Amino acid sequence: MLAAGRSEAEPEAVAALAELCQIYWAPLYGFVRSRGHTVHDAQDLTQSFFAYLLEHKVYARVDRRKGRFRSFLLASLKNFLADTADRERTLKRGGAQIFLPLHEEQAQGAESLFQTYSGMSNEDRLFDRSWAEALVAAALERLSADYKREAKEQLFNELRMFVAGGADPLPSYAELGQRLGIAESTLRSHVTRLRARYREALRTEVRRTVDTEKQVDQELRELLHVLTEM
Amino acid sequence: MGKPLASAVGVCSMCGKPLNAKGDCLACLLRTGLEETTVETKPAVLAFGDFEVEQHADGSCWELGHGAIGVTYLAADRVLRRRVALKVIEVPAAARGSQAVRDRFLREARAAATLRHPNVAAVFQFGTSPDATHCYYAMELIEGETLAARVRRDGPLNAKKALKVAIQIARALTAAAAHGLIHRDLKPSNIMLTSDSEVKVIDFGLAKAITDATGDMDLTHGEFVGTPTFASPEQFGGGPVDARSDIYALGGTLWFALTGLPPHPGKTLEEIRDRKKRDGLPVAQLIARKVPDPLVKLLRSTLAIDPAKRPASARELMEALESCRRNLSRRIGASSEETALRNEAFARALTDAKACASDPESLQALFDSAAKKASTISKKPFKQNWAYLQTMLRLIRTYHRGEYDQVSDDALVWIIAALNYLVDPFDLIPDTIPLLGLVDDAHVVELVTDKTRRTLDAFMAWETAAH
Repeated sequence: MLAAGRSEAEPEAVAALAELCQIYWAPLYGFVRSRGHTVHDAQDLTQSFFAYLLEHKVYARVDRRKGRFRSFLLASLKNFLADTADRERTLKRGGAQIFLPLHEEQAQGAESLFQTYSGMSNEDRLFDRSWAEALVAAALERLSADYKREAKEQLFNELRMFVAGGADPLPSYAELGQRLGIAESTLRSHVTRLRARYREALRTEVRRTVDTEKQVDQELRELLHVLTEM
Repeated sequence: MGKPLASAVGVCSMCGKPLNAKGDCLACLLRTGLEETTVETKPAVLAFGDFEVEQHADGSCWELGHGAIGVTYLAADRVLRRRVALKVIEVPAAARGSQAVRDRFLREARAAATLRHPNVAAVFQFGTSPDATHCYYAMELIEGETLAARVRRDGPLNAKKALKVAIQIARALTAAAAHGLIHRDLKPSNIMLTSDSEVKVIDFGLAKAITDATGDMDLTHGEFVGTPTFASPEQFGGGPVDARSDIYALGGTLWFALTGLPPHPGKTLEEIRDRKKRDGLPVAQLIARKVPDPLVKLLRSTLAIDPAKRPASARELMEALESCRRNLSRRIGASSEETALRNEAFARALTDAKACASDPESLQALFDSAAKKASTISKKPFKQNWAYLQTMLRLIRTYHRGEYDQVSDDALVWIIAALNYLVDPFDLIPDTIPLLGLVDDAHVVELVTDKTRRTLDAFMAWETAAH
């Protein structure tokens, strides 16, 4: 199912899972918050949940054909929260030794995201929506880093709107080309390339949580469906 | 149900969905991931007439150069199956419907296409796009780099090499004159140097044929298209432009090759124009580079404000340049014996310097020793350089005392480079001896040569004042 879960106890697999946990920390935190926990409790619970996942290798017990990483995480979190008392006992016995760092910025961002979508009636939908946010943020961040590495950060920032949309209408290629001092034809090719690279970055992110290209499409459609339902 | 979602940040102008807190459209961002790769990951091939612009592996167009008035691409000739350099120029909107502009472009293009010369990049074909928004022409693909890039990378050329380049440009201008062609935008970035150090002038007449027709050269009516740094004074005023403008531009290009600087630099068009009219030529730059007097004199006349005071034709300029080269060769030949001894002494000093680069303690002794060896040779060929050699030795001593503000290995490297430079201003040391020895990274070389030049300029000024 998950790249991280394909082989038990491999350090690389654990590292990959830890990285995914960092990326998707906010949706899980938001879900915990939607269950009525306070900010600090929700932070503790989310951290404990990830530590629990890593320590108990829960991912390795899941049949890869049964679902996607997103559904798996949500189901696991629900089980985890349902058994809070056991979780607390575990902690008191000295469990949860795996420590995932939590940055203040990350915690604040997750809380802000929760506040934005806390009005949603369905907590699963809130989770999915937050997941979509985390997914595209990771893809954009990866792409931005690539452009920065190629010393094209400014180009990325100028053309980002062709991928991310926005409230303002897109400028014409001629207008933007003139402002940036780039030939129209060159600008078109830059935009096409940016879209293609973003597409690949996004699908790469999704691919880390599912098995096949078909599932990548399904996952994206499902997340898109959540947005269009609202 | 609760509060409305993200209503404060508005909706996407493309799909109408609410934007997130960052102002991004999640729906658009997700939808892009579902787009068909066959269309999106491979951009449409850019084509003009028979020519297809080649692409990098990531699908981006393969640009060879990019200027104010157009882009040059690597392209494939689909009919003749060869690679070409394709210059694509966006026709200014005001000129798109003009029959006069089209006629002028075609006239110039036909003339350029008939010009065949070893020092001119041949023009194979030309045309305009169906919507008249672009003109293009296919040129011979030159493997090499521009003179501007060479000087930026390696620093100024010595007099011998600069003259070799200038003479070939003058030959190209002479051949063009026979076809009634003038270049109008001659500058270091339009001079290609092949791997065999042969010169090929590119962009003959064509680019400017389009832009000039719209009055862009007239300062009062529009912006100056292209770089004004090497343009002749008469090109700024909208006056008649003839072959003598190219002669002026060749003078500026030769100046740049010798010094690494244009004779009249400036940040704005007005500044450059005013400097050309107001300031005299900064001849001290040439003297600092030990440019021989006859060549300085020739550059003065070539860069005269009044076109009537310049060489009257490209041929006349070419002959004058060749005369300078002959004088230089005689001068070099006379000292060939001393040169051989000097080369040997210097090569040994450089090798030794490299061997103990990490041992500053022994450096002064090393250079003193090198100087002593050099002093056993007749000082005559060093007459002009000796003072600078002494100056550099003083600099090295300062370096050892820790007084120099750039005490580092880098400083050591450029001291060695400076020593090389001042001992061998005419590049007499064979190329087999590494010039900078300790460095091979192009960026460092550029840094070193730049520092070397500035240091020498500063010390020359000091020397002049002190003596």
